[in-house]
Amino acid sequence: MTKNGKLLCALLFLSAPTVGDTIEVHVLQHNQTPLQRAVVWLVPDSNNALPSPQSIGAIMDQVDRQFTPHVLTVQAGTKVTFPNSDSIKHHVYSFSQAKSFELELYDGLEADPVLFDTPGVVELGCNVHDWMLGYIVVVDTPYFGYTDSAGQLSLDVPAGQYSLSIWHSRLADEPDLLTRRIDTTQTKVMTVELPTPLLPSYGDYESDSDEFSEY
Amino acid sequence: MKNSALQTRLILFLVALTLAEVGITLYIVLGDTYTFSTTQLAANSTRNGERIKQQLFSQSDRLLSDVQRDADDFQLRALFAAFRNQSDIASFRSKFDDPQNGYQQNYDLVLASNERGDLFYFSGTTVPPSVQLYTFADNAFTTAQINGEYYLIKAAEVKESRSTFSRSILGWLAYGWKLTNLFNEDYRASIGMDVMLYRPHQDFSEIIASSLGKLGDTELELNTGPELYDLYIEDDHFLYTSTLISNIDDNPFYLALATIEENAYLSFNAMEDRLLLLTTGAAFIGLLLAVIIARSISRPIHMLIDAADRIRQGEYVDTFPSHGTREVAALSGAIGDMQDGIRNREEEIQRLAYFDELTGLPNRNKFKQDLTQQIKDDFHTRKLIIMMDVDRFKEINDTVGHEIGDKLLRLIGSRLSHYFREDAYYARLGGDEFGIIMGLPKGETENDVAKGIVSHFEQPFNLDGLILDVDVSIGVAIYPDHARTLNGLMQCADIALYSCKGQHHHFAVYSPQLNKHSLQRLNLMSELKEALTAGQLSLHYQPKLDLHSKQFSSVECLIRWIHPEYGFMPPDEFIPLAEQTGAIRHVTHWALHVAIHQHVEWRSAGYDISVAVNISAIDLIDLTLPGYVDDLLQRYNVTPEKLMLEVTESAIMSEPEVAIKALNTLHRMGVKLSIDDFGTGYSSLAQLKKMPVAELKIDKAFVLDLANNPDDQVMVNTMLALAKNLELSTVAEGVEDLPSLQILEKAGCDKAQGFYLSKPMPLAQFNQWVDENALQYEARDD
Repeated sequence: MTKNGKLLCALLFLSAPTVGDTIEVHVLQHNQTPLQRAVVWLVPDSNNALPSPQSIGAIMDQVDRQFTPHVLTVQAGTKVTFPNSDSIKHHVYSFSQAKSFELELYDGLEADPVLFDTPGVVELGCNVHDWMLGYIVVVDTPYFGYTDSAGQLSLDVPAGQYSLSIWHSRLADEPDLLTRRIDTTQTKVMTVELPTPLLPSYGDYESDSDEFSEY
Repeated sequence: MKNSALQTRLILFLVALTLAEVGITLYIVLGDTYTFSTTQLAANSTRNGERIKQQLFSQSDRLLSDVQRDADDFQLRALFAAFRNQSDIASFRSKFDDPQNGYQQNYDLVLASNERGDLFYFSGTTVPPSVQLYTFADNAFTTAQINGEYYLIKAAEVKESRSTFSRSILGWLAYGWKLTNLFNEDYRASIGMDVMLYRPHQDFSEIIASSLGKLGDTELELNTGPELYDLYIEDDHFLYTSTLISNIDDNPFYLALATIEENAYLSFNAMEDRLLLLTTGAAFIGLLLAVIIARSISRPIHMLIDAADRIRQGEYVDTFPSHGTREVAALSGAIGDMQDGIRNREEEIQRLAYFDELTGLPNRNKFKQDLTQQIKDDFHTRKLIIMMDVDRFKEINDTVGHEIGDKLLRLIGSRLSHYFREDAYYARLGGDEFGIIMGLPKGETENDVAKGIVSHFEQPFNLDGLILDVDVSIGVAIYPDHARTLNGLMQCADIALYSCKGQHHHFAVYSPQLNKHSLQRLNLMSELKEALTAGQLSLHYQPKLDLHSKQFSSVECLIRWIHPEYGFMPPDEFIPLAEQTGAIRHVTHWALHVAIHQHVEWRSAGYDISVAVNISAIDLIDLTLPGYVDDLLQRYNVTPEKLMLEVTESAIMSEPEVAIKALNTLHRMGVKLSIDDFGTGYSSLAQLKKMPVAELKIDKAFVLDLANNPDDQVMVNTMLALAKNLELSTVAEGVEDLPSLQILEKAGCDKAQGFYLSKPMPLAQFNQWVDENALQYEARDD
């Protein structure tokens, strides 16, 4: 992670609400092993009280010809900046329904931030480097996070009724299957088990890549 | 065939062999070639099928790569996204419908669907096909029938990003080619075969595409195996193999590779013609070779046959066929060896036939041959033909044995040829007889020559220490004085030789007088047998007087031969001849028969007259005599004592052992035996004692002049005394006067016989004499 990335992450966590319940989510793969780096988000039934997305926006960096992070989760309405940390040009694009855009060949910070205002998964590609693949998960809630290496995530959310969703770049299942109803006043811990095995990962092909070993 | 010439047979055989070989070769090669050709055709078809399959697959791959390339295209994905995200189909259509972009030109079919498979764009067909494009995404030969037309369709996923791990699908893009467009004349041009793509159905084959233009509506049912199958389309006969192109969802596509039959075997047919030509040529060459080989085998054999033929005719063949096969050479060698063998044996036979083994001299045949040749070669020159034999050789042989006798003959031969005259021709004619041919030496007479020969035998022979004096007799004939022919000369010499035997000369030269006598003598022998049957022989009877009873109690039966031409034949002449020829046996048997018969006649007439018959040495050796005598005695019922057999001393002495055996047998039968001519021979008293004789007959030599010769009287007395001591009765023969008779009577002789008492008389006369004298003796003084 670059300094920028770390900083952004820190800001994100700092901005999380501090009142309410803390719920703990465990995500297990089909083979019962913990699934790390899974995106977990909670969408409250009533969205009146939802805080606005951070105006500062989010960053999807391009380092060593890879999108960094591989998966970026943002609240709908967040502007994401696509800095190019490589010395070569990138041509970032997406044909996804949630956000179709194109940042034609650019260097450094030449590209303008892109507003992601429709919830959904946006698949990012680079028209120069076909292998580059990144995801921006646009969620309609500020309550989201990633599972750690133990497949666990603790989220502090206001007590209430939520829809808990999980996404992972290698998820083979339909997202609906992994959506759970949760009442944080009653349920503090939720375990979600993937009904089918994950799709192959980069790591299966590039096992010694430090950059992606965490995924 | 059985006796046909080797050459013909060989040629026939080789021709048959060649033809068979050619036939078999053709059969096998053509069969193999046909099989090979068929196999090759099948293999070729299959290989071509595979090639075309590869081509189809490569086209499929090309199509797939086209569609994949386009699916990856950024702009195209943007269009897909525009359609999906903004329902902008117009942009999409404008890209694919615009002829300038070349999609219609390059592809017969363009299809696009969203990520769920809903088709949102199709070109090339008016009716939206119901296909799921993802089914065409792999690299199989994927086809679909759309609106009655078969297409090769390849599809590719259109993804939001190009990463392999992209999971966001925008939709599917597919391109298609009509299958019929994939098959064109190019295939036929490149592989020389027609191509048919077909789908087998229940009972027909759906032809999807074909390079055969004229197929029309022909309904075919094609096989789907790798073998070669027949196919008839209109007038054409095709051969085809089939190859499976694809079989997706049990919907197989086959490819048939078809060749017109004539074309299929084009190379085979050409090769068949060449092969036929080649084998015919080979057969012809084989035939030629067969003839040559057969000739080369049979020619030396013919030469050998010719050689063998010449050998058969007695020629000697020096050269044999040496060329040809080893067998012929061996046969040549064998025939050569055979010829050598024949030659050796011929020489051996010649030696045996023409040379005497004992002496090594030419034999009688050779002698005759060479004499003939000498006369023929040199008829001017006088020649002596000399016959020589050894006196009393038989006695010598009997005394000293055959072995020494043979040795003596060898020495005689050697002495003649080595010491007498080396230039003369000597031969052993048989037995102890030798023949000599020589020219008459100058200044010598034939008598000188003969004397010369005789003189060579004055020296005794030394036979392993045994000193033997040998006398020879020689008969000489002169060519051309005495005879001009071989037989004539030999006869002359023979006669001369024989004549000296009787005259006790050592040699005689032929003279016509000798011939006359001799010829008669020779003829006699042949006539003697006839004489026996023709009644020319008769017995004369000479009474013997019993000096004690003064009665004529017995007679000696004497053989007389009255020859119709020569008249009376003296027994002294013909009996020895008869003994020589063996005819004596018949003569003796005849005499015994007549004598016994006569004895019986006299007996019935009331006279008891014993008969005495002379038998010869030959009769004694012939062991049938006792049996014959016994037979006669039985037949005529005559007591044996009435028969007296008179045997000469010399007859017994020639072969004493056998003679004594015969005499003993006769003696046991009761037949009396008398020793004739006693005193003239060399009888030893010891042998005389052994002999079963009853009577001694004192030879007339001692009796004829008995009255006047005191020596004879001493001899007679001595003999009589001897006989008395040996208890033998005695008979004196040759009594010609009374004083002699009286002396004998006084000396104690038992019987007397002689002209004084009576001459031998023919039967009639004797019978008359008997009737007159009643066998009583009356002394008379005449």
